[in-house]
Amino acid sequence: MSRNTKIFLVVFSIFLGVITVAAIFYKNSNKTINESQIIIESGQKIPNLSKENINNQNMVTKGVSLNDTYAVNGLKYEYEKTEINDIEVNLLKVSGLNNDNVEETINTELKERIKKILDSNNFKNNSDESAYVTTSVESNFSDVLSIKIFVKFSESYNKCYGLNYRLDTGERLKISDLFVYNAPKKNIISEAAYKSFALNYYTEEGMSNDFYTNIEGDVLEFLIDYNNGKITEFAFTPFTIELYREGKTVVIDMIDYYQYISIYCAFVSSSGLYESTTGLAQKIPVFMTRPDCMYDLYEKVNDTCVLDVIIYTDEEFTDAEKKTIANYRKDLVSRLSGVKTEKGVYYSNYIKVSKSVENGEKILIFEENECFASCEGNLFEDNIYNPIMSAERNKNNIDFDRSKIYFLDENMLISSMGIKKYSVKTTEEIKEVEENPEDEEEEDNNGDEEENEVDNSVIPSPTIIPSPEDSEEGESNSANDVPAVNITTEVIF
Amino acid sequence: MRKNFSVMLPVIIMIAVAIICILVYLIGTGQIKFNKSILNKTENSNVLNNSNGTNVILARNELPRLDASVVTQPLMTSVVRNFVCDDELSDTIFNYSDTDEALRKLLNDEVDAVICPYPSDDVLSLASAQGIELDITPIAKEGFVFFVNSNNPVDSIKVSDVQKIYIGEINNWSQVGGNNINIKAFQRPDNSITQREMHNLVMKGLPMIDAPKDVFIDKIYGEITDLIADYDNSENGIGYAYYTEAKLLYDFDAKIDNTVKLLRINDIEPNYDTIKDNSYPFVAQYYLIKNKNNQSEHLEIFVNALLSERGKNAIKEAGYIDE
Repeated sequence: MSRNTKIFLVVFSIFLGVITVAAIFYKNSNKTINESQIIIESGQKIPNLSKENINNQNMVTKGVSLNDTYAVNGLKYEYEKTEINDIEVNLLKVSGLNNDNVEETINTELKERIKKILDSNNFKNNSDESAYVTTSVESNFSDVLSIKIFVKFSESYNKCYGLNYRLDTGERLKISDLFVYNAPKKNIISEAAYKSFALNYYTEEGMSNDFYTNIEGDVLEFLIDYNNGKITEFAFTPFTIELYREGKTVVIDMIDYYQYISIYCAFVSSSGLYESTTGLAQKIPVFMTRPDCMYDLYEKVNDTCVLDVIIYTDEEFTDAEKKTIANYRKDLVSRLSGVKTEKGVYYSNYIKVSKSVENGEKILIFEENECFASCEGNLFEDNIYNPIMSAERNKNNIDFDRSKIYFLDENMLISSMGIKKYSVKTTEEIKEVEENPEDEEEEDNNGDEEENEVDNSVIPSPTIIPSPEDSEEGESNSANDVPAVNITTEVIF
Repeated sequence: MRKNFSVMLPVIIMIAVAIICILVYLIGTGQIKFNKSILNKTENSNVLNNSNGTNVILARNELPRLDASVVTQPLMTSVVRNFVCDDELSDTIFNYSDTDEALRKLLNDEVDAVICPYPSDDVLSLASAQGIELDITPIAKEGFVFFVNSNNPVDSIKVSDVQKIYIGEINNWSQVGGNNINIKAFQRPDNSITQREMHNLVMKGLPMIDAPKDVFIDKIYGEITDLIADYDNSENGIGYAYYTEAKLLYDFDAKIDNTVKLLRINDIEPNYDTIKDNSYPFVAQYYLIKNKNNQSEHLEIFVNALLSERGKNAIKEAGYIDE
């Protein structure tokens, strides 16, 4: 070889070597930090700061305040019954994102995750013919998504898994992403683990001393696994974070640690991620969840006026019917503008829409259930808003599918029901002929506190809280024909 | 031909350099790993390596049946991982019981050895009744520590003051140099090993006040008021635990918000040196307990390894103090 060739080879080797070293450093510095924290330590030294806190995705240092709000995502989802490995699966499918890649990633990864679980030796060895899988959306807000996978292995054994995403990039979230950078996560998880496991052993007779050792053992094992990076399965709702490990679940009540919770704001994107956000509430108070509905018109107008209005149904509609519902919504918004000018008012109206036929013509019936609570403006927050928020933020009330306004004292409420009919053909309201005033007097003379028909042209103006004599029967006017109620607990103010 | 070779040689060298760089990159970024145990494995288990790179002492199927107390789990796990080839370990080997249950299993010959605190009188009586002589060997110790919220201005407390707090004689932090706020003295349930240690090591027979209780609303049971409260790191709280237990459960790092801090007792900080030389007042001892009549060869290998320098290092790595 000539001298020049040798020089060239040397320079070439050095050049490649430098590039290789630079590439190694770059790759290693960008490695995703996993959630493990090694607990093995020498002697009694205090462990180093966990790399878990140094999170390239989330450097948020400020948690939420209780006055903060969030927006519901425009992501849509539906469930499809299918089979994977001959196991019945209720499979979630998401749609409605502008980024098809992210949408595809979520749907594909969900299916692959389920397949992996069902292919595992653990499932094969511990499942029987009663096995099935369900998936559910636990959170769909603030541009994040949380999916829970529930796998029933057998009658006595089931496990939960989670898939959690930020919707701007489609990347998976880690547990640390739910918290601010310097949150005392171990403290939080220890407390939550103790409560969660204690409730597992609690009975109607109370807590037996014999079980405390089990509880402490369960807590310590869970934290050992957490410190070893083995707690990776989780899901979250607007209220709670659920950590899963080998059939055990630890539930963290986020509101207890709100100053450390970052998930409401950490991944909110400035770009439009969704094909549509029509009908979605945009400013919902944090740690509060909204019922499933077609349209959510929740709005905290100002410090003394709140609208809690939804339009919901349990039926499927054609495009023409959907247009009619949209028109009703427009009319409703127009009517609500009058309420928005009031002070000291919490207005609730959960409207159920259903199909019907009248005079051979397809119509839609909107059953309105109005309820007001009002007081002097300066008392609104203490007497009305805060108690309702307390009920909203209590996860034990999650199954209560009426407005939480009904957690207020009955004496504070003015309720009324009404029906509006809209023609599917014209999409316009079908105005009712006014009833004979003599018929109304007869009804009043019954003495029963029956619900009154709402004047279909105007929403009644809210009045100051009525005296107790006005509600002799003690029953709310909305006792009948209201959405199914399943009160499981009372809120104690 | 020679001319062709001299032309090809630089190209061959360049390709070789490129391949070497690619391999170095893949190894450096962890995308290729060498499994030492595959390279070194032979039929003789003594040349297997564990993740520490040291020779294994026992193969998985040679390991004695072991159990540990909840508070000695990290110790046992560290020791077993050190002694046995990691590739052969599974989580089932670490399925530990609590102290009394583990010792009962020992007496019933369901396990060969247990690492735990000193057995209770009940267990010793049971062993005696069954004619079983226990071999109890001290192998490790650690501090029994007290902790408060890091914002609590109190950094040190006397042994007598700890006792007075827990018998109710001191009930305000201002009485021990802190803020004027009532002390919330958290405890552990009566039958927990930590509570037993508190009685034996700290209170020494003095009766403790009632433990604070949690109050919360449950969906199924309604209002629950009788659950012993868990340490919540409130500004007026004080709690206690074994040192390793505390480090597992709580955040002590000063960079984290609202952390927990250990209290000095009689102005002595709990650390390796003060616990090793017993100058820290509250030192908890752990023992390897086995049936004296158990002559298993593998058990003897395990015990000898545990008491050797290697065993002591494994104990230290787990955060405990070797004996």
